Amino acid sequence: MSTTLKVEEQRRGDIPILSLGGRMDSTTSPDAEAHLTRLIGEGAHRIVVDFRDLEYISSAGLRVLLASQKRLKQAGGAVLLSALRPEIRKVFDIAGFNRLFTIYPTLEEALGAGQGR
Amino acid sequence: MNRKTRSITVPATIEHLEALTGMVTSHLSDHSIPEKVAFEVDLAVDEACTNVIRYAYEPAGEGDVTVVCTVTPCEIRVCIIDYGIPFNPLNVKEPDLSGDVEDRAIGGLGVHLIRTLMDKVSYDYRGGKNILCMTKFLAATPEEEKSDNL
Repeated sequence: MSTTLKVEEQRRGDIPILSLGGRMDSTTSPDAEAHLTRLIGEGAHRIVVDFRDLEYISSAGLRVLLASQKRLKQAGGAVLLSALRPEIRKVFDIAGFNRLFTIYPTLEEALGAGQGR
Repeated sequence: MNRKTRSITVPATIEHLEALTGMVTSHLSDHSIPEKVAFEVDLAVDEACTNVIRYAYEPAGEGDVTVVCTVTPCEIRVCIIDYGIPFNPLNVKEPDLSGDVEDRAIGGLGVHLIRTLMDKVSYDYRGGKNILCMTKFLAATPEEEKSDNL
């Protein structure tokens, strides 16, 4: 199992996509946080975070996502999530985060929703 | 009895978190514990160790953290031991999960995850040590194992 977090940034139209891979814990979450903070600072309104290659998330990772969601929601935007593995989906359910984020089965569906509004 | 224990003691700093969770996941993998179960134990250990690393010792203080992991045919038991400020995580108030994004507190989820993912959690302060023990039952319950041994 991976012990590092891979963070990749790309853009589809106006929408930034942050693809996460590996392990998002208290050691590695600050890296993802730095990307999200910068994108929000640059004026991103909607950000898609793709979880397809993410194997693990702890409360430190959840915290980073919630902080970004709070900031974007204040500005009428949102963090959209895609492709959560079942184990990670369970963590979201336990934390009650399934009600705080719109979660799409695939990246393409998240992008479709992000561009549609 | 097929009891196998491994333990690790390291300074309670964030750089050592990976060694602590890594010891547990590799021990579980050696015992062919299903991935789904290993994921949940890994997460509980991560949350408990992260709390110790962040809060057990005074901001300027230093100390060790020990993780002991035992796998038996019926359960996985992990104890996290530190010599820091007495702190019972089981006294932490359950977070309010009902609010919307703006109402939700950032933090307080770690202990909630531990309680939900593990089957039994106990805390003891003994001999100057915080001892948090977390148990996940495997397919065979302790009662079944006992009767098997009779």
